[in-house]
Amino acid sequence: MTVLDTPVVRPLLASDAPPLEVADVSWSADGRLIVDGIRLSVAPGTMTGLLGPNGSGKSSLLRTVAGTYRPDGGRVLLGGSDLGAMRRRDRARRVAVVEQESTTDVPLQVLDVVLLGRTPHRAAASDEALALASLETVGMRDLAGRDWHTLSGGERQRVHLARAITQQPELLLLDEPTNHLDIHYQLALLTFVRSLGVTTLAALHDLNLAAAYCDQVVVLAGGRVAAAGAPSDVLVPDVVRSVFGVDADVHLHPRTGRPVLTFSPL
Amino acid sequence: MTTTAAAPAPAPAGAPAPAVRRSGARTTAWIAVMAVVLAASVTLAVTIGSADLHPLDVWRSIGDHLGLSSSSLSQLRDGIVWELRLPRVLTAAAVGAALAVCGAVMQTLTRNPLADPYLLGLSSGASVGAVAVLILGIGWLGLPVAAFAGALLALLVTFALANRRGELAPTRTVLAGLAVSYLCSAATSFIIFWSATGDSYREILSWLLGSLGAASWTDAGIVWVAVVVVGAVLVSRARTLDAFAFGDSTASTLGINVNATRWTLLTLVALLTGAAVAVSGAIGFVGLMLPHAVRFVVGSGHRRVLPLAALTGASFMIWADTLARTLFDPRELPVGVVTAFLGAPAFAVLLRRRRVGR
Repeated sequence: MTVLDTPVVRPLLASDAPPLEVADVSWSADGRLIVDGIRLSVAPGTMTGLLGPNGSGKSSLLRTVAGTYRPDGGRVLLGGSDLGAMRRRDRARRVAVVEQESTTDVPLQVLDVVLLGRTPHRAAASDEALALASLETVGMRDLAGRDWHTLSGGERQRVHLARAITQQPELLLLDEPTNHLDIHYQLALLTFVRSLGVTTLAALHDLNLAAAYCDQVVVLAGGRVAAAGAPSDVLVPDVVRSVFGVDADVHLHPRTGRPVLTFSPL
Repeated sequence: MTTTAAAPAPAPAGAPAPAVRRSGARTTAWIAVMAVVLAASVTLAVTIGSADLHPLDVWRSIGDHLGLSSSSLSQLRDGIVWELRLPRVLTAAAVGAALAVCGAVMQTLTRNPLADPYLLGLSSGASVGAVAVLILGIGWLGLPVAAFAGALLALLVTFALANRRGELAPTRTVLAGLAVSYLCSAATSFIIFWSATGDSYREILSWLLGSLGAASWTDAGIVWVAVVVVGAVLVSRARTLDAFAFGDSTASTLGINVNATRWTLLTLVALLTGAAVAVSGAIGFVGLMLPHAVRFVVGSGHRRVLPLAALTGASFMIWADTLARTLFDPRELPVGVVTAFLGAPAFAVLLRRRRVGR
């Protein structure tokens, strides 16, 4: 059986990918405001990086956008429709999430995990081919029969990404997708995500990865947007100093012309 | 074999990937095998014991009573099969199936490999009800009804303790169940210590450790209906249960209403467990270990695990109960002792040979 030529994601041209609009979204836990009136937008089919120090609200914002947390205020619009007003299942057909270090005690094969991506969809005979094709695209096709627990951290992350692709989303939310990955797979993963043409919002720790791969970056501090825009406009010494508390020197990448940052303590 | 430096040739591009477990056909085969084993177990278990019964006698008696045949089976033999053994064997089967299925679902919903059907305080709640009947002589209730009422009450208290803003968080739920269990155990011990006299001790102990000695057709009917109805609902929610593998938050992003699902399914599982506990007492091991054993064999997809766990649990319980009543004939062992003696070593062997619950 060959599934190599099965289309993985429905061919998403940037023109038919929907834009994401986050309008004044707030979320609080135990009376503490964690996400404080955030407003941002992601253009159709582009990748936006969510940056900020630990505890700045990146993960919480992603979860609020995903609908895992119910926002206290504000709306999340995907292609004009209110994600918060949708039934969970309908939302899951349009939005896929890859979380940080998500694991399980249950004995599962890699293919089982990837097939979870079909959960919100009606079961179909083509599901397995689709899952295998997704594995192929993240370079894990040969490991489809492997026990989840024998995988390395980086392999697990790629399997989760394959699962998210199998969900055939219009919006991809990634929480630290490059954690655990070696440099090769960090670059490979982000290159790949960009090539999908799916509207993507990704929390990233590495400012240089964000600078190299994102169309837009949004810097959070204390649950609010501290700066937003093109990487070369936002990742400047002033912003880095005030948000992260370190000194930064900005250089230009000799080949891509994108900013490359080097850091030193204040 | 010679050692050469030749590395294995790299697989050519586009070569088929290593075989992925084709679980569908394998699972069907397993289910068919276990269904046959269950039918054979029912038949054989009924023949075992004093009075020399032939397996065919069992089916003759069943045929007669269903009006499908009229054989010359003697009234005595027919009585042993139909009145004495068959209800007990069928109750055992239903209880075993119920416990195995409940254990599997409980482990999934609480994400705890140590979860068993009694996790929410059900068995200890049932024990309070049962002991109250056995010792305090609140006999008008009847033991199964009292046990079921006790289990239900324990469940409600557990839910009330665990509920926080309408949510049943897994860890909170497990801890609430633990608190209720200890409280009920204390109540049971108190009643026994205060009022049990010589003879009633053994009766109580035998119930507490699980016993199918008093099983009637009514018992069999109740548990069978419960296991078929609840089992069908749970199997229909198999994909939902699968989605819990990576936790609540992932399940939620896969479109599952985590909270509503947990409330509904935990309640269903508790009712099924309550029905089983009411007729048999708390029988350990089956609900904890059998789901793991089944997952070794067919992986963890609930559409495969639940039916196979039910069939395996049923056969396992039939044989455990058969041993319980024949091993030291005419004395009976509590079946819970047998399930533990049989099951723990079998599970230890599996544990050594395969990987489980990391």
